[in-house]
Amino acid sequence: MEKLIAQLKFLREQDEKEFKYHLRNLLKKKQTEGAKAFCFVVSEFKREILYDSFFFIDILNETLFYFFLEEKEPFELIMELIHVAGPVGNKDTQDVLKQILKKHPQHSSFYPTLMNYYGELNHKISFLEQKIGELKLHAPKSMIVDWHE
Amino acid sequence: MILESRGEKYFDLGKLCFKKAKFKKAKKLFLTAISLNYQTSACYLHIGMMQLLEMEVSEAFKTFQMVLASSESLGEVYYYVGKVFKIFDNFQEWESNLKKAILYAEGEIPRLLALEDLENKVDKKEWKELKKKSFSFYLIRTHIPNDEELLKKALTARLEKKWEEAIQLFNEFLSTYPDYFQGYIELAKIYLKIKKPHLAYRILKRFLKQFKKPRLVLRELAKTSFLLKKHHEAIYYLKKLIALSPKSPKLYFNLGSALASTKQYNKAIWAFKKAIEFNPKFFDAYYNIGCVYQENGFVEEALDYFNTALSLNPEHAETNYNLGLIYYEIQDYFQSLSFFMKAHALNPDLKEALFNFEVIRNLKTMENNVIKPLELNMASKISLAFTLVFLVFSFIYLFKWI
Repeated sequence: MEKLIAQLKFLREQDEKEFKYHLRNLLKKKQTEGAKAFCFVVSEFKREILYDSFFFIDILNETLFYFFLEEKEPFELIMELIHVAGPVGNKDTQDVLKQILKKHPQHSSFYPTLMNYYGELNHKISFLEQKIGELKLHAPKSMIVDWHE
Repeated sequence: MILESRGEKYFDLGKLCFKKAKFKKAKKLFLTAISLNYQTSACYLHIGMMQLLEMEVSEAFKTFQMVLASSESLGEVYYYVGKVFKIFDNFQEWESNLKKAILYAEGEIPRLLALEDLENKVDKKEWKELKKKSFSFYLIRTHIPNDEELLKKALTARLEKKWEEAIQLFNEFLSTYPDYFQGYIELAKIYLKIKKPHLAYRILKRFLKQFKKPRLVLRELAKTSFLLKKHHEAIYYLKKLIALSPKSPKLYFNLGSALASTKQYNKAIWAFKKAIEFNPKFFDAYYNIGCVYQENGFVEEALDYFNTALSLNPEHAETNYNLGLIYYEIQDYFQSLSFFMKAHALNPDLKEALFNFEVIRNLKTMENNVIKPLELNMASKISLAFTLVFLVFSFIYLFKWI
């Protein structure tokens, strides 16, 4: 495992795109090995996952939901994942949090944190929905029209 | 002795006709001088120069080879041989011939022109060395004709980047020798260098009016029209140039750019593809084809050409940016974001890449990306009901029949 992580860290310096795909694959693989293994990989590459969250958020959401439904994993580990996914989450994360909040006891010490993340995501998404009209891509770059001697 | 003096007379007359761009007459006079055995190499050199000016490149090359092979080989010929190599895109030979011209040419004009062409092509130290050599060689000729002296002064000012002085000297040249063609071309070149194509265009038109020899300035005319965005005119001149040198990828590229600027996209793609045919590693041509296809909505074709362009120059930010947009269109958001990120990393001034990156991220944040369960609307419910009823009736009918 450590060798694999070292290899990935080496790849990160060489080829960023390749590194992202390998990290995605590793996360998918660790999903089947349980929350502990998954959280270990996430903590090793937390900076990359947060910075390039778009590339990993679908796996985080999926894993979070899977671990929560299975009810086998300790909730502390699930919370560890929520701490990563919450601040960079999308609408799917919001849905997963909604599901967790529905089933999670209100007197739990994690409940306010969960509620906080859910509220933040809700705010972020509704803010973006208001601004949807402005979210337009810039046009393609034009041709090279220099004179070639 | 008598023959020699007659030969000299024909040679001098030929030179005069050459300077006045009366090439047919000049050629005859030089051939007569050759028949009188007077300065055969110099005569052939002038014939070659005329052939080169009239874009008869292969004939000119043969003539220059004759000059090089002769015993009285002239250093000037290297400058013109270099020009031929440049037309054939053989830049190594072009450079080495220009250096030879600086070292061996007796005339000042080809030496200065060769030195000017080598600027920014060789390293600064070498260029300074060559400059020293080319300037000190003035001692070789004691009797320089007045016109050449003036032209030399103007070219020296141009080399020293004293533009105003050079323009003044060229104008003096043109007013003193209005029948000599070289002054017009060199003055136009200054205007192009100082990025005043409208003035270059005016001079070239004056030249055309006076000499009626468009072939001599086709390249300059095409370039000035192109720079002045007179694309239809540029296309006209470029087509003429291509007819004279049909294997030049750069000419096809320029034609493609002009055609695309006039929105003749099919023809532009044809021209760019021709450029690629003659130079399969022509990055700009691949990129431009990609742009034309992308602009017209041919995403797959654009993707192909941009990918080839990227393999030739992976550090080109604009190619990465355009690929980001294409991948967004085909809904491969990971690739799209990667390309926008790379584009911004390669060129931090490309703020659009960063903006697009954020837009896509935000758009995807608002979307549900999981596969939604099958939802039936009223129409599909009715259609499903009808299907079921039809199936039941079919079974009943089949049962009765059995």
